[in-house]
Amino acid sequence: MIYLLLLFSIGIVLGIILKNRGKEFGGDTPLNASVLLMIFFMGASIGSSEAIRESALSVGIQSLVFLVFSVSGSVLFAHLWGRWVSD
Amino acid sequence: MLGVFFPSFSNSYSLYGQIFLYILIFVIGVSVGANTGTLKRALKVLKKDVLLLPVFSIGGALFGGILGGIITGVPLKISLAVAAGLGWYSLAGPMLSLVSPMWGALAFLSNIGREILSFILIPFMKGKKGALIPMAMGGATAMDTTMPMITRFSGEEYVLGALYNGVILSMMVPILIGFILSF
Repeated sequence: MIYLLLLFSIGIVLGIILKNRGKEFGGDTPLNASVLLMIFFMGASIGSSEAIRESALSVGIQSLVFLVFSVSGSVLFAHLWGRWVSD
Repeated sequence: MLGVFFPSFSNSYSLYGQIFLYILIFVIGVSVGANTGTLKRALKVLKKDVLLLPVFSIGGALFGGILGGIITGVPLKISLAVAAGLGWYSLAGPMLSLVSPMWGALAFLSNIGREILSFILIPFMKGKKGALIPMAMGGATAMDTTMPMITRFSGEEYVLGALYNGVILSMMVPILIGFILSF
């Protein structure tokens, strides 16, 4: 995981140095290509996992729970912050 | 389907997925660095309530993640990492799949669900506090996919705020997930 953060940091520095050229380098085409390829292989990795195939329903239910709670948490905290600022 | 029909190559899928994840992270870093001008402009123009919104969006999501973990029995570290995706399913899923494909699937599904839910609910979420709630709901997607919804239903004056929030949260997603998973 530390290598990911290191790569991310190096990318940020490079983007700051390159400025407008950095927007092209980090723009739609390389971004979309990386995302598509990564998602493809991630899907293959998930599909080959017997554990996931056997527990697909529970993963689905867990993801619903997480999405509801994480969204609700963000909305609640934003609402409370908005009230704090306006009071 | 490739994984289902050819499960014996699972190590290769995982390896290639990791390689492209590293490439993606690097490209995202460049994109974020190239957009620091937007952040500087936002810091001069935006008011305090919007400037500090990312803190509360992240705090709320992580709090929700803890509750989700308690209910589902998912380990705390994974619960926090899933919630730290902030709607960026194409990054959260692959990052968590480095730990296990199961958690990768969970992160992917819950964060894509967050984006879909945002599309459905943002039109109803504008309140007296302007676009704070729609921006918080959109999370990292506030800078691109949900920005049109936010500006359409909350007002064009929130374009910069949505962009600022989205950029900050997008910047924080890999840092947060990486930090949480490093424990």
